[in-house]
Amino acid sequence: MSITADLIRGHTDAIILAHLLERDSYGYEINKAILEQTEHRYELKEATLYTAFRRLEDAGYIASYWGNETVGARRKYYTLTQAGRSAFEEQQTAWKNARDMINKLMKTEEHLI
Amino acid sequence: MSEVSMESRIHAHIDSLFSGIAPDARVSEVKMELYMNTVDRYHDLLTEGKTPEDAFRGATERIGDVQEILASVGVPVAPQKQVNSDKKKNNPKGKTRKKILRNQGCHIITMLMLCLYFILSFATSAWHITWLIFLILPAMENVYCAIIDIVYAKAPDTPYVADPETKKLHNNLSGAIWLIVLIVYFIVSFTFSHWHLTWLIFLLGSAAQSLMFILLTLLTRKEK
Repeated sequence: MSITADLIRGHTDAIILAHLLERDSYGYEINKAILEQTEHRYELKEATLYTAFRRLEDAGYIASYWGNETVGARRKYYTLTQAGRSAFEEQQTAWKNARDMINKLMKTEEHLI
Repeated sequence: MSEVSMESRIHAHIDSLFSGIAPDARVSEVKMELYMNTVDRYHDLLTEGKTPEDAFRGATERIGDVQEILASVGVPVAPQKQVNSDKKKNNPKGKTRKKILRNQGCHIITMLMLCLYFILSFATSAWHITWLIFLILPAMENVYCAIIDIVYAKAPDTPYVADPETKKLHNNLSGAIWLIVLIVYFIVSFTFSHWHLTWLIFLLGSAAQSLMFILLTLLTRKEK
C-alpha cells in the first residue's frame, strides 16, 4: 500500500485542483472526499495537504479566503483561479498520456498474474 | 459533554501541540485551519456513532507531526522545543537513566560515608575530628556526578520506563535484600553485642538496594 500511496502523493496538486473544479472547498472536506472516492484506501496527511495548498497558492492556481462563521471558528476556503483551471487541464492530459505509456511499458493489460 | 466544551477541549489540545512556537500570522492561520479540521473530523466521528471520548481521540490522533505541518507552510521551528514537550508527554516524572544513575549513586556514597563515619568514630573515639567526613561528602557526590556525566556524555538521555517485569524483579530483590539485612543484623548483634555499630547494616542495606536499582537500569538498557 505504501508504494501506491507514494505514487498517488506525487499527484496531490492535481487531485486538489480536480476537487475545486466544481466548487470551492476547505481542507477537511477535500480530505474526506478523497477518502470516500478511494473507499478509505488512501488518505492525505495534514502536512501533505498544507504543503500542497501553499504550493498551489504560491503558483497562483488557487486562492484562499476565510469563511464568515464566527471569528473563533473560521474555515479557510480555497477556490480555483483561471490559471489553476488551465494548469489542471494540462496536468490531466499529462497524466492520461503517462498512464497510457506506462501501461504499455509495464504490460499492465497483458500480464495476468 | 456539551458541544462548546468539547470544542474548547480540542482547542486546548491543539494549543498544547503548538506550545513553544512563536505565534505569528502564518502560525495562527495554520493553527486555525488545523483546529477546524479537527473539529470537523470530531463531528463526523460522532455522526458515525462514536462516543464523544472516542471521537475526540480519533480526531486528535490523526493530527500528525506539528513540526512537519509547520515546515510545510514554511515556518522554521527550532527542533529543541518540540523534543522537550514530547519528552514531558511520554515521561511525566522526568525519570531518565542518567538521573537514576546519578541519584542512586549519590545515595550509595552517602550511605557508605555514614557507615565510615560511625565505624571510624567508634574505633578512634575522635568524634571531634571524624565529623569532617561530612564536609567532603558533597564534594564526593559532585565528583561522582561529574564522572557519570563524562562517561555517559555521548549516550542519549533516554527516559526510563520500567516495564512490569522489571518492576516485579525490583520489588522482589528489594524484599530479599531487606530480609537478608534483618537476619544478618540480628545474628551479628546477638553474636557480638555491638548494637551501637550493627545498626549500620541498615545503611548498607539501603546502599545495596540503590546498587541493585542501578544494575537493573544498566542491564535493561543493554537488552534494548
